[in-house]
Amino acid sequence: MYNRQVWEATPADTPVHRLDVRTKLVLLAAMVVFAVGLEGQRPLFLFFLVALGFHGVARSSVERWKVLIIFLLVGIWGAMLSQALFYNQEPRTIIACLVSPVAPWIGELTGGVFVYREGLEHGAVQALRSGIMLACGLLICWTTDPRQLLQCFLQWKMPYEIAFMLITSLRFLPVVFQETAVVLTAQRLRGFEPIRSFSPVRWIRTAFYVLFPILARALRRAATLALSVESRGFGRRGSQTYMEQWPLVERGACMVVFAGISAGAALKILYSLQFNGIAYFPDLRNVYDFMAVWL
Amino acid sequence: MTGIVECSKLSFVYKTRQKPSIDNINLQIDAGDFILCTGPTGCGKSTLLKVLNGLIPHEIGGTLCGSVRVNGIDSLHSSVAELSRTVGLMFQNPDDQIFSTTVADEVGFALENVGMEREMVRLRVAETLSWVGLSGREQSSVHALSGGERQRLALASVLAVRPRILALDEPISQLDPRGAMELLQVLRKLNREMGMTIIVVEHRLHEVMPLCRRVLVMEDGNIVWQGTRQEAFRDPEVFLRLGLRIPQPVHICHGLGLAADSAAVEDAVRDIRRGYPHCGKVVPGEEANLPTEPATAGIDIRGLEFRYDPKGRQILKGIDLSIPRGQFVALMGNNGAGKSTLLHHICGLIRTQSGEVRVHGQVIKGLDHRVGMVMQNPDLMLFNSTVEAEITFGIRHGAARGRSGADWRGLLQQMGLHGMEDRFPLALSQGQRVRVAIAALLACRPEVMLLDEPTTGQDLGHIDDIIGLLQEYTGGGGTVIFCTHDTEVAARYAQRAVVMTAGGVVADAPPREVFSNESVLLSAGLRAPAAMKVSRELYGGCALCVEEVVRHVQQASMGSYAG
Amino acid sequence: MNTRNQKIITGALFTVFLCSLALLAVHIFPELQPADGLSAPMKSLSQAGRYEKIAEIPLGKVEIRGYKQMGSTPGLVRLSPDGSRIVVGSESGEVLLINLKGSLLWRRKIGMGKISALEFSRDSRSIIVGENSQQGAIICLETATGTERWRKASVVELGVDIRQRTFPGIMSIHADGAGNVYAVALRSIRRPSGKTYYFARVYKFDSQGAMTLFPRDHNIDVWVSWCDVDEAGDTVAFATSDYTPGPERKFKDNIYAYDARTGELRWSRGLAPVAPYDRTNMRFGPEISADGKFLGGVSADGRAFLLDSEGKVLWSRTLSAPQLIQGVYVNATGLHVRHIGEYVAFSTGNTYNRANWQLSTPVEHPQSNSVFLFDRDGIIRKRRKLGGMAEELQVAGNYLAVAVGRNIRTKDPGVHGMVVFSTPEMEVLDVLRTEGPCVAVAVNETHIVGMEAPLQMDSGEVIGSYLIHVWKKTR
Repeated sequence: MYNRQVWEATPADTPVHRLDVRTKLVLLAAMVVFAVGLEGQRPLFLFFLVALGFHGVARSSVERWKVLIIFLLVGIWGAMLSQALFYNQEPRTIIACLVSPVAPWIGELTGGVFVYREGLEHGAVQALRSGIMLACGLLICWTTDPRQLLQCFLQWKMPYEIAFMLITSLRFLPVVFQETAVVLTAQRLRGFEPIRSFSPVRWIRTAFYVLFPILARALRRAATLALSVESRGFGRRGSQTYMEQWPLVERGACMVVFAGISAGAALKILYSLQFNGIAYFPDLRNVYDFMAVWL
Repeated sequence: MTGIVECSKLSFVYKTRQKPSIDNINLQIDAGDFILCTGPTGCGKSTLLKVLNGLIPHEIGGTLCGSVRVNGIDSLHSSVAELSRTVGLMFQNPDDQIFSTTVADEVGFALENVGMEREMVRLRVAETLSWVGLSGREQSSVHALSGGERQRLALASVLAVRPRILALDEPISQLDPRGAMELLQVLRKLNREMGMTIIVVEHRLHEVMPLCRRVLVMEDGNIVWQGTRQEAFRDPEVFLRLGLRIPQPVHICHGLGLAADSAAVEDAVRDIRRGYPHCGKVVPGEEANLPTEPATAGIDIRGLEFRYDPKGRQILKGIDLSIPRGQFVALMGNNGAGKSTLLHHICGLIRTQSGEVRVHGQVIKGLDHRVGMVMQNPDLMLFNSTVEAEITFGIRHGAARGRSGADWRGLLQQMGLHGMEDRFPLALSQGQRVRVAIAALLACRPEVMLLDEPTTGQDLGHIDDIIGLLQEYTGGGGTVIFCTHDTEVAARYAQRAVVMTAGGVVADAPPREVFSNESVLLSAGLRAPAAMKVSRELYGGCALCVEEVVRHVQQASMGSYAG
Repeated sequence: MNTRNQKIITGALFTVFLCSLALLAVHIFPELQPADGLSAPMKSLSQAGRYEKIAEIPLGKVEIRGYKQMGSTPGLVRLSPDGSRIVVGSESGEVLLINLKGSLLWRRKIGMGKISALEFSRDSRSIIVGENSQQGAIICLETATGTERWRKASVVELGVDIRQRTFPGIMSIHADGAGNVYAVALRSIRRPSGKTYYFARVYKFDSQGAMTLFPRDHNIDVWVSWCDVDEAGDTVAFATSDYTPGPERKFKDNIYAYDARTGELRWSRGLAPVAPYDRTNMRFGPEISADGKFLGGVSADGRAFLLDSEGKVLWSRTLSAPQLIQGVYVNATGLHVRHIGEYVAFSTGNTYNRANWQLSTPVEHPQSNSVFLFDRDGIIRKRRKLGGMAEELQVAGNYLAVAVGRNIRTKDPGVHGMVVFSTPEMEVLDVLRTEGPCVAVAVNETHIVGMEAPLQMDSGEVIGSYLIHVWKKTR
């Protein structure tokens, strides 16, 4: 049945696992910045492949690849289809007509439902962005001890309550998924087949039926865990032993990455300034061309 | 002489309640003591533990009156962080406490919180792991540990800071007998060899009482009895009155009007022989097996094999089992024996890979509403907003095959849930939640009922209620299979015991026969009920429960049986 | 779920994912698509069978226009004078060099600018690219490798207003037989007062990249989008337009001719407007004959002109006269002029409503979408109706090739394609149909290259694709 270890961080001996957690977080931040800042489809696609490549290096199991692929497919096709139907910027090119504007009632109400090529493309770009962030985020969750993440956040002066909330959610979300599967099984055992029905009313009812026990368990678990860690000295006061020394090589690499992010951000700002007619520097024409072509 | 814990007129009222959860507690615990704190659900045991380490009142809101001094520190004016170095607190479910991915990280967490040097942390972790029997497992994933190992890891994570007092809240309630035994051995060692003060809150008294030095019994927030273990054995009335399970040898002695000094079988046998010199006579016909009636097909399993992963371990290895209708079967075995997998096959949650499962002659191909199942964690089976809605859920969704509405009220009554129709099921106590889940299933009148550890956390009275209802159900033609580690319950109530080990059935016979077979029990990580051991020692018998032994001894002592 | 089903589901999941990735990759990286055009079966749409199609090369993405938009998708395609190469400027900012078999030799993105003009140098060794950008550069690329040799930014002369996004752009590029290239650069800005200001210049670059400006020291204050030069490189001429109210213009005449060597103005000629127009606008013209003795011009009001080398108007003909129909003036715009030996060809475009080009017209002007061939005495020799807009005229030897695009009145997609005429007979040698409108053409003695663009019909259906067709003459 449901395998919780697919969702929870597991130790292993791969280059990704061996990376210091701070390095991983900096790389995650870098990927997020690139994903948000880049406009071009090509670099986004390449970064997307890089993010998938990290999973390969981390030797994610087949089950984890399945989870990742399901999320990515839903993101890619969901974003593309929704944007294809609801894209409202110009120019936009109709490539298919789903509901004609002259169709009785619904045609008048909607003005016609079309599939727009530019919408598909825009959706693909958004999907690549969210795919990069999802893949990198899951990689962190799957290869990093939550306790190390907690230490890192505390070392970086995040308020301990927020840090603990983050880590608890990471740690126990897989448990919630597993328990949801159990709840659905329990419902089926008592004659309620929510998944097989196409009735939205039933789905809403199912959602409430699932919510009660899951919330109750989550509340009890959260209370126990909070008391347990408090009982082990975690809290506002007291000195904290910090993590292992951040390896110099990794720290250097992070500096380089940070410099790269800064440079990228600067370039982006420069390009935006000229694009919006605020400032243009002719001597930087090569830079603008590079941005236009590659980024 | 001052104790390591001193409570004076201690009372606490939770923020959301009116009644105090602990009321006017006066308690002194000496250093190096091993205290068992017990009582019915809601009596305030857990609250008392949380006061000791400062969680109450610093982290849990409410009004605390009185004074608490722990190792000379006034806990009301110290932080939890400070007190955590003196009092280590461990909870019931290890999965709710462990949040690292490796063993070493989990144990080191508390040490990092106190700012210990990294190298010292490593050394301390290694030493602590050796105390709990997890030496060399530093880099193991926590997911690779068994239930008992995880509970020992949770213990190690608390022990790492070397607290003077260890407080444990129902530490063995979720464990199988082997896991429980391993943990208790660790506690014994910590107390006897290292002088650690240990306070355990537990319901499984028969396992913990032999280890402790003193016992506290609480009821409604008050300490209603406290004394040494020996005093508790000699005067078990209060335990019995509160529905607490005392060790069977003590119970037998009490039933025979003898004062027991220990829970050991040998000591009970000695005491009984002293008091009843003729108890060794065999009473004919006493332990005859019940006559068997011609069996009609209930559950029929042929050649059942199963693996989750084609390359992985075989979970079920050619199970052949035939259970007639109306039989009450205990399914037993150690963790990983395949019990849950077998139950899932019977109710159709898992499709058969090889072999066949029939219920009342029909092959099980998928979920079948003729078979109902209560899972180990009842919380995940309760999803309605009222008890009434929960119990009638199956009826409303077609699982009941036309059962009438009047029946469910009777179920409520029988389960001790009368008056709770409008309560939110998930807000009830754990024992009540289990009973609601069972009642909800019984309301659907399935032809077969499968229950996974239904008596966990229940006191004696409620166990009787549940079993009584299930026996009524089997009397009406229903078949019951319940998984349990509790050999005393299985021996007392089941008509048949099936023992599994490593995916196969190693014993399938009436309980008397099964529990007489030491090698089978050993292979399955089970222990024969103490009553059976006592009867064997006393008169070569195979008693299944306390009452049988008491009855025998009394009858044997009255003279020869003119039967 | 049993293991076999699990494996099937896992396999299906991975397959769907990899296919999705592949689809995305092919769309994002068009170079992954077969570039020689031979992988997909091509429809042979040569009516007379004189040409055989040898390649179709997709050009990537382009905004798909419909009938409601003014102007077609811009098209830039040229055959090298030595007949061995094809250069294409795409709307996605790429310059592509292709051989006559349809194989891609190199492609180069020019960056943030939009390609607006393209031409080979006469020796075929260089490709001159014009862009519309903040710098409005003229860029010289080496034909063999695509590397940049030099560039000149017209912003120095024309200025730029980045806030208003009025950028200088290169409107057209021409080459003479002496190895020089000429480029027209223009920037226009409409002020809040409603007046439009123009800044234009003609640049000449010799084979070393040395530059001469026309006029030497000031900008042209009207619209200029075309210039031409004789084969010897003696005279360079341009025509002007003025579409919207503006300040008092210095350049009041319609055609200006400069000494291409010294930069001195030789002559200028004004052409009186005809009612109902208040100005004569000349967008694509003039065209100087190879010997430099004649200069042809065509105005937007539908008139054709022939001038001599001194600027004297030898004759003027009305190709298309404005007609008042149902209270609306309709006309067909004069478009191109080409010298073909002793003859001059002119073309007209779509019918338009003079009041507002977006409004419909009650009828199609009878002279719209046509090619007219005159001799030098002004006598019309032939007239051919094309059915669709003459997007481009190109002449090579005895061939006149016309790229036929949209007919905004009939909206008949069946007219799209290239028409090849024999000259001077103006007999239709072949018609090479394309699905979408043909927006550019290049021709030599052996090959013809056309650029097709997609078109969205009023029903929403999109026809055609953005690609290059390469045809080889078979007989």
